[in-house]
Amino acid sequence: MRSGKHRYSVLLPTYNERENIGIIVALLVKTLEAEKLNFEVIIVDDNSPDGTQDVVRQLQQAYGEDRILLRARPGKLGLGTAYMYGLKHARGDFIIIMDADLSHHPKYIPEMIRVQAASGHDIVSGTRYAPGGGVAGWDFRRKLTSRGANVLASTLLQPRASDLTGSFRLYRTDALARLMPACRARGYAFQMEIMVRACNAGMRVGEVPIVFVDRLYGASKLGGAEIWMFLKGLAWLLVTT
Amino acid sequence: MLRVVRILSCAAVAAAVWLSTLQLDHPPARRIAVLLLPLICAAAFGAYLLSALAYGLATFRTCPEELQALQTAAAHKSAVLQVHSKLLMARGDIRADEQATALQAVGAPPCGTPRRHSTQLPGAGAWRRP
Repeated sequence: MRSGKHRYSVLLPTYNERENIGIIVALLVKTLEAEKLNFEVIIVDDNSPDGTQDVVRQLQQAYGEDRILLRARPGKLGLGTAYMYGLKHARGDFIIIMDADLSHHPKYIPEMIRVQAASGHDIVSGTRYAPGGGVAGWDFRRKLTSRGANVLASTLLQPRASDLTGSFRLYRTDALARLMPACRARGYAFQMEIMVRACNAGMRVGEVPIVFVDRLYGASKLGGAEIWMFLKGLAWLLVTT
Repeated sequence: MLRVVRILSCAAVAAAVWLSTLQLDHPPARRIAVLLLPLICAAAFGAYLLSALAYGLATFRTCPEELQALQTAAAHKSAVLQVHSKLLMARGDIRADEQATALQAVGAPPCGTPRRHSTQLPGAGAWRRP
């Protein structure tokens, strides 16, 4: 695939990702160079105490400062504002948002680009729930919680997307710039809000099945506090969208 | 129209229809059915949610091979970084000492060091999602 006329900005919000950032950047560069894409990787780091930024500076030496951009922030300011901050520095006409903790494999990015190019979608979302998608490292309780949350949110909000809380997405830069100022939810409810507002605005959404890899194999990290925050986010979206 | 307004409007219309139906003359059996209609609808909605959940769980794929593939890719990352840094050295973009520093910072051994495969990925990170 050759997309010389488009530039892709990969946005990686990081906090304490010293040990993963080298791997994910290496995988990104390998994948995107193989597809002969014009790209940049923007790392938005919230002053990680583990030295993530030092590693990023070394990656800049290895891959070039025009390819690897470090945009540091003074503290842990939240995911939504990290996206906004990265968006300001993105030079691409498409933005790919993904996690830096190796949950999302860059190998799905070329397929996302192909789907977008074929249909002109404003957003292409990686979905764990469509045929071909899935997870690695989740026990039954974790899967039950995730699926239950998605069934409830899909029934009440009726979006045109099967995975509302996923964070591996490709956006047209202008579409994301339109959506971001309207989004107020915190935490992962933020991902739900972006998708719901995008569907309400009439944006075209495509999907690509992905496999989400959780690092702590078998351990459920979704407690009562997270569930309560999800329900609050859902109620917020019901009354504001 | 906001979603909650739409839901409440539909509920209000349904309630009005139900109440007006109750005012009509019905045989006793039909009257009981009309009286229980809201409960029957709630039970049907609950059954729909449960069946959607059951279907979603039944079709939710678990892919342990992806975790294995990622661990393999992580174990090979040092080779990827070494190839890149060798290319940069050949082009004269970085010096040998800069290459060693860059590889060391990302956990890759210097070129020529035998590779040690890691079997576990580290934990960290701040963002959680359901």
